[in-house]
Amino acid sequence: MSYVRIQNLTKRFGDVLAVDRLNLEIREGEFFTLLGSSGCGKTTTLRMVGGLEKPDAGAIYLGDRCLVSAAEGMFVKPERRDMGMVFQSYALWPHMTVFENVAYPLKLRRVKAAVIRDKTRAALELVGLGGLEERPATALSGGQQQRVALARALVFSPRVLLLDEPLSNLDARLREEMRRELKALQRRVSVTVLFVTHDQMEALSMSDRVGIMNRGRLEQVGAPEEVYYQPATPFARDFLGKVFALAGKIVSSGDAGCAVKLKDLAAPPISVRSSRAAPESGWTAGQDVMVAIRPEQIGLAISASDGNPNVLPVILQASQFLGDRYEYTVAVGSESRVLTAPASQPLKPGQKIYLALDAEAITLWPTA
Amino acid sequence: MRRARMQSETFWCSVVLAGVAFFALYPILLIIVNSFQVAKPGAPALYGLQGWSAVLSQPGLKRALYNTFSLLVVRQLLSFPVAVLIAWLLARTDLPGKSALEFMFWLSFFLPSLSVTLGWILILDPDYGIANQIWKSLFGAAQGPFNIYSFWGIVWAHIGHNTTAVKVMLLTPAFRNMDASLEEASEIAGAGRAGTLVRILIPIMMPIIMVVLILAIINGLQAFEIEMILGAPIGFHVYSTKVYQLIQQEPPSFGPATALSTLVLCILLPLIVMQRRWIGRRQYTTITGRYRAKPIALGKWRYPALALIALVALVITAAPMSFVLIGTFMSLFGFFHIEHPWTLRNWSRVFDDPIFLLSLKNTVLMAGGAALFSVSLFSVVAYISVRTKFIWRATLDFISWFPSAMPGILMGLGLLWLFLDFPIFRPLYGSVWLLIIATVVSSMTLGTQLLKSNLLQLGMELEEASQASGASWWTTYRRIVLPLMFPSVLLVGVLGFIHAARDISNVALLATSGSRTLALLQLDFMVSGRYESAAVVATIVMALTTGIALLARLLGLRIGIRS
Amino acid sequence: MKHSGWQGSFCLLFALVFAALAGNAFAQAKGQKEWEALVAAAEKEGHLNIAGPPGDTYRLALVEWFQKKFPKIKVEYNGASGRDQVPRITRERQSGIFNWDLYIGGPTSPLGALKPLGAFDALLPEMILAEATDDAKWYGGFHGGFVDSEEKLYYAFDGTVSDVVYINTDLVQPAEIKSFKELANPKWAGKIVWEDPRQEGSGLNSALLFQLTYGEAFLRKLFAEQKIVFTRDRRQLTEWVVRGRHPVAVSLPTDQLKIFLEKGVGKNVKVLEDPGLVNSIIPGFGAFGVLNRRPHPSAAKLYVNLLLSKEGQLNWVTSSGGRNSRRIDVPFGDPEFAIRPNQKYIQSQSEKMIPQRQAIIKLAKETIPE
Repeated sequence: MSYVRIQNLTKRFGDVLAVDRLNLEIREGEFFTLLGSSGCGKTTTLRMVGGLEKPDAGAIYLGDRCLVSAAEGMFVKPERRDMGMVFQSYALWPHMTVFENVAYPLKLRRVKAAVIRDKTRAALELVGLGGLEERPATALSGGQQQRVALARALVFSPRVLLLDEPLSNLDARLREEMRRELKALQRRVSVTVLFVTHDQMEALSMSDRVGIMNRGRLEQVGAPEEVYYQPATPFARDFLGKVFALAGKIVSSGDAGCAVKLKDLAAPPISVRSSRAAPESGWTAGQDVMVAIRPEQIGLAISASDGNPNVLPVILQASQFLGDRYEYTVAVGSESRVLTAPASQPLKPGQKIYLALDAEAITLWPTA
Repeated sequence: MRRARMQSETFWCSVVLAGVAFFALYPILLIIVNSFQVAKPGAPALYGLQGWSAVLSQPGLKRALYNTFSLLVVRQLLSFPVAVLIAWLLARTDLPGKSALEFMFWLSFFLPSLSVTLGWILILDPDYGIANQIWKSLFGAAQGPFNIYSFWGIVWAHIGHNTTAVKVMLLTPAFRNMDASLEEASEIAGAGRAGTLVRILIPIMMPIIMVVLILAIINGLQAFEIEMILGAPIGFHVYSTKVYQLIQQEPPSFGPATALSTLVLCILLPLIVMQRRWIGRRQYTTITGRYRAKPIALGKWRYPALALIALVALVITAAPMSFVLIGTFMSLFGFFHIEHPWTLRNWSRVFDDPIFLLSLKNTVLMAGGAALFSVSLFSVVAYISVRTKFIWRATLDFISWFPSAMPGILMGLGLLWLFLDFPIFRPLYGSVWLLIIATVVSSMTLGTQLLKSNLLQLGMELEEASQASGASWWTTYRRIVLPLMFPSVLLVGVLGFIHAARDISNVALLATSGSRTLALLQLDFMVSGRYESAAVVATIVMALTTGIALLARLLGLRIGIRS
Repeated sequence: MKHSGWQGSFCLLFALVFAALAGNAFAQAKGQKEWEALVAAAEKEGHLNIAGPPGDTYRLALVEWFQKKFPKIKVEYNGASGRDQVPRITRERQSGIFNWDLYIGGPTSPLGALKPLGAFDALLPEMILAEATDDAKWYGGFHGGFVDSEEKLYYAFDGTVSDVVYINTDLVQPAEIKSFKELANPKWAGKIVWEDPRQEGSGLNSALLFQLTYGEAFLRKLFAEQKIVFTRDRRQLTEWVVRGRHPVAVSLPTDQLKIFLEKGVGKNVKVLEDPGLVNSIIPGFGAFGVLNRRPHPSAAKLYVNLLLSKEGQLNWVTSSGGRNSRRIDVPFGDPEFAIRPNQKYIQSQSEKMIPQRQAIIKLAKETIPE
C-alpha cells in the first residue's frame, strides 16, 4: 500500500512550470529518491510534500490523510505534517547549541525535559555525535553539521524524512561515507525517506526505488538496476550514466527481438533481445535506430570467439589508466567511442580488439 | 483551510499596512495640504500658492542649497570609508577589545549634540580655543590654524560627533552576520583582504549600506543644530536652517516651511525607488544553515588596526564625553580662570527642580515604551516586507520611509492634528501614550530599514527548518527569527529609547505638565542660558541610555548568534 | 437757622463721612467676601492650566509662589515657545478642546494667531481686586499695560525698558559711541554682534528702535555694509562680548549676562545710552491673556488678580531673573532697565507695532548678505 501518494501535482513559478502533473506513490519504509538535474522540479516536489510550497493543482496524501489538495482548498501547515526535513544547507540555527538544535522539535511537542534529554542524546549518538551537545552549532565542521541536521530531523520519529540534497556540500570522501551511513541509519530506524539529489551515484546506491525527473515530469520510476539498465526514456538513459551508442537500421523484427545492421560496419547484424526490442514495441524492418549499452556491460576480447553473433571488431585508438580500470577509445567504423573495462592484459593503441555486446543488455532507440 | 490561512495572513498584513499608512502618511498629507492654506488665522480657509512662492523667493536659498549639498558630500566621503573599515574590523577580525570599542561608538552616538559642539568650540575657537592657544605659545604665531566657525569646522563637528559613530553603530551588527565561508571563498579565489572587503563584503552588505547612506542623506538635509551654532555667525546657511528660520517666525510660518521640506521628499523618493530596484534583484543571504563565524586573523596588522580605532574612538567619544562631563561641573563652561571655576550647583539645580523627578519618570516610561513598541512594530513591518507574499509589501516598505522625510517639528505638528482630528485619541490626549506613538512613528524609518536589511541576511531555510520541525509561524518567529536578529532588534530598541528620550519637537507639541520629559527640562535650562545645567540633564539622559544599552548588549550576548 | 444750617451741614458732613466710611467698610467687607468665595471656588476646581513661556526661571517664577499660597490648586504649567504653544492651542480649540486657562508669554504669537480666533476674554471683568487695577499703582495707569489694539485682551505687566547697545569696555570706550548713529561708521564694520533680527526677539526690537529713531536707510546701511555677525544663540552672543571677540553688541540678553556676572566675569560689559533713541518697554514673556471657555475660571481669576497685585508683581521682580514691573510700588528687578518717571516710552511689542516688526524682518532678510 502506498504511504505517500502524490496526484497530479502541479506548481508554477511565474511562467515556468516547475512541476507538471506529477503522480507518484511511495511505500512505507521505502527509501525513495527523486533524481534529476537542477531545475527539474525535484526540490519543489519535495517542498510541496513538506508543506513549504503550495501546489497550484493536485493533491498529496500521507496514508489516508489528505495533506494538501488544491481542488478542495485543503492545506495542512508544515508543522502539522509530522515530517522531518534535512536541508541542502542543513539550516542549523546559529544561535543555538548542538543540543538545542536537536531538542527543538521535541520542545515544540512539549515533551518532558528528561525525555528530551534522553531522546536528543540518543539521536546524537545515532549520528555519531555523542559528546558534542554543548558546542555551538556554528563551531562544527560541514560533516558534523550535516549529522546534526539529520539528528534534528529524526529525533521526533517523523513519519517521513525529507532529504534535500543533504550530501552535496560535503567533500567526495565524506560524501561516500555519509551515503553508507545514511542508508544504514534508514534501515535501522526504518523511516520512509524521500530523498532528492542530482547525483546518480547517490540515487542508485541508496534507494529502494528511484524516480527520474525532467522538466517537471517524472520520466521513469523503478528499482535502481531497472532504471539504470533498462532506461525508459532517452533522458533516463543519458542522465544515469555513460552510454555506448551506435546508429543502425533494423533488418528484421520478430518474437526473438530485432536484428540491427550497424552503420559503417562490415560486421553482420547484431541481435537485440531486451524488453525494449519486444514485438509489442512496434519496430519495423528498415527503421533507423540507435542501439545503446552501458559501457561497462561490454565484454572485451583480443580474439573473436565463435558462437556469439554480437561481436564487433574495432581498432583501439587510445587507452587511459584510471586506477581501478582502463578507459579505452576505440574506432567503430569511422566513429570513435569510449568504454571502460577492468584492467586485464595491456593493450596497445592500433591493436584490433573485439567488443562483445550482450543481446539482453542492448536497448533500442528510435533516431529522430 | 488553505483559503482561510491565506486570508488571515492577508488580513493581518493589511491591518499593519493600514495602521502604518495612517500614522505615517496622514500627518504628512495634512501638513502638505495645509501649506496651500493662505488665509490669516481665524479667517475662513483659503487656498493658494503664496506659501510655496514665498519659498522660492527666499533670499539666499540657492546658496543655502549649494552649501547643504557640499557639506553632505564632503561629510559622507570622509566618514563612509572610515566607518566601513571600522565596522569590518570590529565585526569580522580578531581585533583585541572589539566589544568595548564598539560600545564606545554607541556612546558617541548617545552624547548630546549641543554639549559636544560647545566642547569643540572651546578647543577650536579661532581666538580663545585651547588648541589655538597651545599652537600660539608653541610657535609664537599670532593666530592659530583652527577655526571651528567655518565650512570645515562644521564638517568636523559632524564627523567628530555623530556622522561616523552612527554608521559604525548600524553597520557593525550587519557585518557580524557575515558567513566566514563567503570571505574564505573570495580569498581562495585570489582576492586579498582589501579585495575581499571591496568586492565581496561591500556588495553583499549593500542593503544595509544603502539604508545607512540614504539615512545619512536625510540627516544631512535636516541637521541644523550644528549649522546654526557654527554657521550662522559667519553667514553660512543651509537648507535646514532656512526651514528652521521660517518655523521660528512668530507666528510660525509653517506653509513655506512645509513647501521647503517637501524638497527632501522629492529627493528622497527617487533614491528609495533606486535603492529598492538595486536591492530587489539580488540575494543577500549571509546567515545560512551552515553559518560559521570565524573571525579573520589580522596578524601583524592587529595592533596598528587597534591603534587606529582607539584613536578614532578617543577623538569622537572620549574627548567629547569629557567636555560634557567637565562642563557639568563648571561654573561657566570654558572659563577656567574665574574665582570658583568648579561647582556642584549645576547638578543641584537640576535635582532641586520641582519637576525633575516627574520628568525623569516620564522619560523612562515614554522612552522605555517607545523602545518596546518600536521593536515590535518595526520587526513586523520589516518581516512583512521581506518575507511574506503580501501584495502591498513594497508599498508598506516605501511608506516606512516617509516619516523621516519631514523635519521633526512639521511631523510633530501633523501628528498633533491627527490626534486632535480623531476623537478616538481624545482620552489619551496629553498623556505619555501619545508621545510614545508620536516618537515611534517619527523613528519608523531607521528601525524598519535596519531590521529589514538584517532579515535579508537570514536564509529562508532557517525558518523552514523550524516549521518542518513542527513550529507554528509564531513560534518560529519568536524562537528563530527574533533571536537571529537579536543584535539588530536590540539596536533598534536602544535607538528607539534614545530617540524618544531626546525628542523635543513631538513632546513640545503634545506634552502637558503631567507628561513632560527630561528633554523639555533640558530645553528649559537652555532657554534660561543655563547651558551647564542643560548639560547635566543631557548627561542624565545619556546615562539612562547607556544603562539600557549595556543591558541590551548583555542580553544580546546570551541570545544572539553563538560564535 | 444759621446754627441749624451749620449743624445741618455738619450733620450732612458727618452723614457723608459716615456713609463713606461705612460704605468703604461695607465695600471692603463685600470685597473680602467675594475674595473668599473666589478662593473657595478656585480651590474647589483644584486645577489651573497655564500655557507659559519656556525656561526654568519663568516656570519657577510663575508657578512656585502661587502653588505655595494655594497648595490645593494644582498648577499645570506647560512651558514652551510661542512657536509650539500657539499652533497647538489653535488646533485644540478647532477640535473643541479647551485645556488652558491662561496664556502667558510674548505678545506677538498670541496676538497674531490666537486673538483672531477670538480665543481671549476681556481682562477687566476678571479683576475684582481693586488694589490690582488701581491706576495710581501702574506706570501709564492700569490701562497702559494692554498691548492688543482694543486694549482689553492681552496685558503686559512687565516693565523692563529695552536696552540696545552694549560694549566691552576693555576694547571700546563709551565716549566712542555717543549716538547709535555712529554704528554705521566703517570703523565698526566687523565688530558688531547682533541677536538675529530675522526672527522675533530683542534683536528685532533693537532694529525697530533704530528704524523709529534713525530711519530705514540707517538700518539698511547697518545690515548691508557693517559685516555684522548675527546669531540666535543668546548665550554664545553674550560670551563673545564678555571675551571681547566682538566689542559691540546690539541687544545683549541681560539674563544671560547676569549668569556671567554671578560668576564674576562680564563686569567689562556696559550698556550704552543714546538720549536720542526712542525709549520702549519690552515686556518679554511678562504678558498674558485669559483664554475663553477656560476649564477653571475661578482659579484663573484668582491667579490673574493675584499676579497683578502688589504681591504678585513683587514675586515677579524678585524671581524672574531681573525683570522689572510696570507697577510702581514694587522695587526694581534691575534698576538699570527701570522705567523713569519723566520719560516717555512706547510699547514696542504691542499689536500696533506688529506690521512694522514684520516689515523689518523682511528688510533684514533682503539686505543681510548671505
